[in-house]
Amino acid sequence: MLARQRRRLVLPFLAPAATIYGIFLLWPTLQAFVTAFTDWKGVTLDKSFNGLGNFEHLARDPLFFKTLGTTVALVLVGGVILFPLALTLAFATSERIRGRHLFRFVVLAPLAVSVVAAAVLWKFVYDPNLGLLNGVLRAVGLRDLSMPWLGQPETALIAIAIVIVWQNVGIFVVFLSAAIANVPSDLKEAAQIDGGSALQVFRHVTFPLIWEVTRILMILWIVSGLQEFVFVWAMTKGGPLNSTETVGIFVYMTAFQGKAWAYATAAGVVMFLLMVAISLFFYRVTRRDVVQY
Amino acid sequence: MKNHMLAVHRPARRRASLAPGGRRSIAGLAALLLLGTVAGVSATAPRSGDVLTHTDPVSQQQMAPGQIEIVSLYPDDAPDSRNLALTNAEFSAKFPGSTAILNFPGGQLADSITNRWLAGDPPEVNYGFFHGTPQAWDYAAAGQLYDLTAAMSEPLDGYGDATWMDSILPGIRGFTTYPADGKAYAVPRELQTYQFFYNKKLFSANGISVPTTWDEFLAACATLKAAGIEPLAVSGPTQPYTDIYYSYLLARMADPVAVQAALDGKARFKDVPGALDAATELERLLKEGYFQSGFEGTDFTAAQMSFLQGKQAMMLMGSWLFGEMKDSIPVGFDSGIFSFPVVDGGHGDPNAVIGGVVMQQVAAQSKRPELGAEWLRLQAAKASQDRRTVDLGYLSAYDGAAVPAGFDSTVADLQAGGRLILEDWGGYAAVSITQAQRDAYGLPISALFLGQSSAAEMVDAIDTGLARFWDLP
Repeated sequence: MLARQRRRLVLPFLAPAATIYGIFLLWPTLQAFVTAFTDWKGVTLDKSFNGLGNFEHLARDPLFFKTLGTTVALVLVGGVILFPLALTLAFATSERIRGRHLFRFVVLAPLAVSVVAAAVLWKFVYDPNLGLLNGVLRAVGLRDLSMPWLGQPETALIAIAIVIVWQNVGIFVVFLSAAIANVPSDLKEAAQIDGGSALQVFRHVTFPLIWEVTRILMILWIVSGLQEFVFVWAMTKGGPLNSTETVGIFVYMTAFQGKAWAYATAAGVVMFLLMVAISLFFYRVTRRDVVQY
Repeated sequence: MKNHMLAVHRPARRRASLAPGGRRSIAGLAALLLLGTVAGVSATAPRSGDVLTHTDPVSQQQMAPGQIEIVSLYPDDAPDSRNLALTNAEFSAKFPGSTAILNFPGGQLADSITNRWLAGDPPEVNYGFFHGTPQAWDYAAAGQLYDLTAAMSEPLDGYGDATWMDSILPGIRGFTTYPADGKAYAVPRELQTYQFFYNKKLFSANGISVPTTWDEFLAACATLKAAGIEPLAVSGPTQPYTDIYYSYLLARMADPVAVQAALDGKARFKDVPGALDAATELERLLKEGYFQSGFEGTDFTAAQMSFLQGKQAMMLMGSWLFGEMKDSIPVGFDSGIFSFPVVDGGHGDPNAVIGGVVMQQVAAQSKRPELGAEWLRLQAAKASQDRRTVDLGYLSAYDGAAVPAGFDSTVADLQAGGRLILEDWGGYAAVSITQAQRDAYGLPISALFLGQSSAAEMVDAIDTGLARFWDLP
């Protein structure tokens, strides 16, 4: 009876959050799954059941598979740049070095810039004639390295990945710094007494102890990277030659420009399922025995 | 002695609240919430049958006053918005108690506006929901557009006895009407044409006359390049601005009817005589290096600014250039205009104009569509059209409106019934076009611009892409 009274007390406090969750997450998700099986064009609210037609079309759409590959490439390239950088910065800012507070501010400052503002800023930086990057390269005698960074398929995706990393590295550094700070200092001291260098201590003591946090951050990166849209849209709109077109851009253009809303939704559903599958797979293969201290 | 049973108050534990009975309660609550959400959303969602139709003109006295919403293509501080505000003032004066407010959603057919149409709450006056191309008829077919036929059969201020429809340039009238029912659902706001803008100072300093033929144009480019001046400004990443070079060459060198048939899937593109010749001429421009350096990664605003700052001598751009950049044009910048040159020996139309028409529509489901139609009538009036052309340099789609300097021959062609070919041959201007269809034409042209294909490969790629899209044998 007491337990039932406690439940009566707890449930009303859960109701607002559950309502918001239901309205803004569950309901649209259910709608999306239903819409993916229709032929909806987005002009009126009329929808006819289409069976697996949209998914069959997706399976034959070379552009969808190209965008899928581009999206995975963006996640991989961005991840390869982001995580070593974030770990290095987190390690550096965890040490008592002069100016570390200023250093932390510099690392965290991009987080305060809105995504669109950051994209427009970097679009200017990358401009082949007016941009800062080519200007600096020419000024230091590296004119041959100046190029239209966003205008060639070979460099556009990496250029965008760098911008995404620049904007997000701060938050990753925050989480990793907190994890590093929680590593008991006596363990590190013991390793140092045993003759370990700073790098060895980090590699054999600190990093294993922060692996769980790192793993979660990697999964978050994968999930957000697979949904990338804003930076690509603001900087290249998927060009040049569709070389930066992510699945997010594909879905947007299919829905809002092509008016094939059901088809776009089907692509979104496929992406959702892929994200779940990739995340679970990654979670499984990166699992290690938890080191407790 | 009695044993007193002490009530032991154990602290509440999470596991206790999530005991089987608790879990069922939470699941039940969540299910109820979900069902309630579904029921609520379903009850309030607009049904496709709830479309209001207004076919009879309503007199000024009969119209109930109120506020109407006008979608604007420009933000509040843009020159065009200031002009729209004047039209709004005229509207309030003509319809006491009524006001028109501007809504800038970020562009034509913006997502926020599209969603409002779906929700049954559209603004009165909109852009992009109807056009002359078949890809832009969806909303008319769905009965979501206000019928303007009766309104357009009445005279229009400033054009004498001509009706509103007859005041529109002959080559533009077709874009107002839905062929399936013959009714008018859109009115032109402005005409946009592509032509070369050139820097008069750079031309005169190098002894260059305005080219009228393709050979003269190539000679002018060669002279400028030899003098160390970049001949042509262009934005590489913005697909239509690269496509337009090939589109014009096609219009000059190939039969436009044959080209349109191929783009519409009725014939093979590679079989169109002149298609390869046009690609070869475009390839020549690229191989000679006549386009600005770094064009591949230059945004269109940066390209326009670069031209206005005198870094390039010419720019193939839309007639909106000076109106849009009015506040950014340097003092003393002197520019002229010339039509895309004629190609000697070409089999195309030497007078064809490539451009577009910005069309406005009234939403049938809006609160006051009759007032929306009257607002459009005020905007179409000669006084309003002249304001845009004289003050802002835009082109009017109305016969008799003032013509901005330099566009006389363009307008004369259209007054005489000349062909207006939609930019990108109807692709870019369409309301709904799949990416595959757009890419079939535009992507191979971009590949040529980026040096990733030859002229012949470009034509083959367009042919292959269109054949795949239209499922041709």
